[in-house]
Amino acid sequence: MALVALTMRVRLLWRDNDGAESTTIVNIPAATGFGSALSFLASWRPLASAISSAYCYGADLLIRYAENETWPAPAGTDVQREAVLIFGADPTSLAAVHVPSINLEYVLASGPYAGIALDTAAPALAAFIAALASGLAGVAACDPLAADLGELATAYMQQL
Amino acid sequence: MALVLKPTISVVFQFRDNDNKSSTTEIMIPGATAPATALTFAAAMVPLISALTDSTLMGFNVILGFREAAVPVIGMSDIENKAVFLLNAGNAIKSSLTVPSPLESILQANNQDVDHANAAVDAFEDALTLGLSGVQPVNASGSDLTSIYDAYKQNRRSHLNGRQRKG
Repeated sequence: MALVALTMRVRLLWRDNDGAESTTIVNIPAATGFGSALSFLASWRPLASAISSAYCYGADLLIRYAENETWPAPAGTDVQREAVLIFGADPTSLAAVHVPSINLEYVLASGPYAGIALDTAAPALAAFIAALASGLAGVAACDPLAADLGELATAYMQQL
Repeated sequence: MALVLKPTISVVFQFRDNDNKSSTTEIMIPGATAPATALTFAAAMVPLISALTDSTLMGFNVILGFREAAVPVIGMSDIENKAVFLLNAGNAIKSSLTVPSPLESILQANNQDVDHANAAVDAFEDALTLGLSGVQPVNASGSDLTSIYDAYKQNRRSHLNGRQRKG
């Protein structure tokens, strides 16, 4: 099992005068340099716009990786049982990260929040939290406005 | 009007459980992060997040998004009309893509077939089959797109903003 690069995708985002939206997707080779891929995106968008009366309001570059073989998840897994990790100190700008099918070994088994709160002292969970709060590979995770996530405020399990 | 980089790059991990339901974890990192560094971050995050879940990690995407700084009033258009381009690829597997709301001026007199002699169509098709900015588009299996097989207008359902109607 290994994660392998798939073709990258350039996705154009369209909107018409009714507010309806659509996309155009083209694949480019996985080995394309990122600079070349972004140049292609910038060059291709006006060519597509020239043949459409809709408005191309955005474009994405998707760098994709997938497992080269799949295997069944074990019984009892459920992606709707998820860990919710909420970061930040300011109640008006909290940010959440969700992990589907949280392993139940990370849910507290005793205490007032047993079965709900996550054991943030468990090494694997602590490492994940530290990577988000303090950075990983020289990159700090952030909220949608690009502000640092800050410290973990709370972590719990929820079933959707 | 110009495309500007979104404030964040999205790193999206995909999971599947034993009922074949799928879900994702999205982690955002600053938009100014170099793509190669973002990819390194994603790869480094894989073992950390895999250790927490008992579902199967299927893969991840690193998504760099660009958006118009200001969207103008959009003229009469209908994205449920599509120009469908069918393409031949080097591995003999055909591929397709669509461009919504094709201009009437790029269609032939039957108002259905795309006019390959139209200069804008020609430039668009050349970009797909001959490459653009040093990049040769490919089909999903990575084989070069080589020529246009057919191109026509078709009406297809699409999704409306915020209403989750997908097509």
